[in-house]
Amino acid sequence: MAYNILIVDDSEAMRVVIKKILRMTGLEILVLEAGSGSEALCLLDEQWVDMVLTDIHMPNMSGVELIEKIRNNQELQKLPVMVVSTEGREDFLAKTQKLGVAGYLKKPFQPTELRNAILAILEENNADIQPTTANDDEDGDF
Amino acid sequence: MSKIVVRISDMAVSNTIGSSIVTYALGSCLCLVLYDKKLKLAAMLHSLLPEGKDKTSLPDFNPFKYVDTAVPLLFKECYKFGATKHSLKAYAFGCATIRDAANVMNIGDRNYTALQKILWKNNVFLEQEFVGGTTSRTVEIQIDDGLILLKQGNSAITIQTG
Repeated sequence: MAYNILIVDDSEAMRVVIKKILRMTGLEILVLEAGSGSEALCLLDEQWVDMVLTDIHMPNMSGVELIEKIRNNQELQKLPVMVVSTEGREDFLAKTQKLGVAGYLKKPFQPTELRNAILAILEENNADIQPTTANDDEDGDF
Repeated sequence: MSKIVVRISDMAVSNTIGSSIVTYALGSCLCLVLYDKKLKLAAMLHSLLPEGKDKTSLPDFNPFKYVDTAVPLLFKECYKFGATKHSLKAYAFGCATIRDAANVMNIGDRNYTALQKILWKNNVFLEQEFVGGTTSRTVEIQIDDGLILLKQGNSAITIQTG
């Protein structure tokens, strides 16, 4: 089963890093990219997405505004959204929690942290997902 | 300089000074190159398809044909020369879309995903990768200095390993 994941970040370098990590999950993932909140909304209008990873501090439309718009859209309100941001203030975290974000990861992060967070969210929303972990089996170890 | 040619579904490991290992016309196949700078040890793999784990009981099974069975063998072969997982630097090439213009089979992408999956499982990260696109590639590594010569389309790139 393939998953569509939308990365929303105004930094192209960050999108490339996240894309690389997504490929390492071993899952079949189709990555969609948006450099702004409005671009993300256009994509969401046209394309089925299983999960959104969004930055917070972006020009024109912030990640928070994007999440609010997603939550106010009847078709998208249950879409899992994970925040990947440098923002770490508690009041801010509480605000995103209220908006029902599925996960929060503070930049900079380790690849394994992002991978595990994404797998956990996908797992929660897709019962048939079987992520590969280091302890799955002995095959292929070297 | 003598050249060791790695054909499709094959691999080579060598520490012979003055030699190089080369593979030609790499399309959707994966070429994984490993190099240990201290030992001056080079290894190269050219795998055709992503997964062969469930085909190991077939009489004509060739583990080097499949990414998931070939990659561990390539590393293990290097260990016999004294290399360790962390002394080996890994570089990936290929995984392009060549003949299958509509990319229906998606072999290149699947080969790359299979590689990432097995490297992740074993805590190995690629130093550099030259994958995807629609161009054919030729990869050669010089054993003396670990220099990788990559030809893709009409361009030639030199990659310094280690």
